[in-house]
Amino acid sequence: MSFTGSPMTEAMYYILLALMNPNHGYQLMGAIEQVSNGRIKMGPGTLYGVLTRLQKDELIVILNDDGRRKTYAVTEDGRSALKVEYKRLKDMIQDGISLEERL
Amino acid sequence: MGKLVKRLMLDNIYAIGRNESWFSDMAKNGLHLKKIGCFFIYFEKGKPKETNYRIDIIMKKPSQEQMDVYHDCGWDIVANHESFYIFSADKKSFIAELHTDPIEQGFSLSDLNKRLKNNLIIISIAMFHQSLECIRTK
Repeated sequence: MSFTGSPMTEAMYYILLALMNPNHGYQLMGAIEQVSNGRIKMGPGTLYGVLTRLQKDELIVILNDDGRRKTYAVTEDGRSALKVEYKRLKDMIQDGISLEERL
Repeated sequence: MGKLVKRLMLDNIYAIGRNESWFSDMAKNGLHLKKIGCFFIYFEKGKPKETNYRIDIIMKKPSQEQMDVYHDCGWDIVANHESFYIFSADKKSFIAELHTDPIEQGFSLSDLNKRLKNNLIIISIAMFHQSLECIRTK
């Protein structure tokens, strides 16, 4: 399924976020865990499913492929999509801020 | 290699959860999934083991790097049939679930669904064309 705009899945958001620094497979899983403060422990099936889809949608690109491992990086389109999603999430938090007084 | 045991595939491969449970139950009884054919599934006789099985849908043949990452997470490929790839993990050394995002997992099923629909259209056109040819030659 092609990406047609926000909202993103959680997996997609964190992979794009982690790929702001180019990375490859196994290390990328660690980077996602780090960027999510240990909250997300992504399974390999999910990781490669999202990487394939993001590549198809040209939100990420293979920066280097030495035959043994591929290094992925976020594209300009990916960066823009991430910014749009970040603004959407920020707006959602802002809209729900009154909850803090009620809860 | 242990003796291979052949079993009739009672469920369609699309019954993902049921098949995963069946393979785990068989492994518990010492029969470990080895190969999948069109109608039969082959199990290798061995020691009973607690094993998790997961069926993943991968449209393009996975790269060695991908298989290595799966392996590092405790998942090894056991068999595959078309786009269905079956992975197993020892329950004792289980590290992470294969899929951790059900929405993303749903996308791979959607891709498979799209492919099946396209195949159905192609087969229908071919059959229609064949019928026309038969009528013309009569």
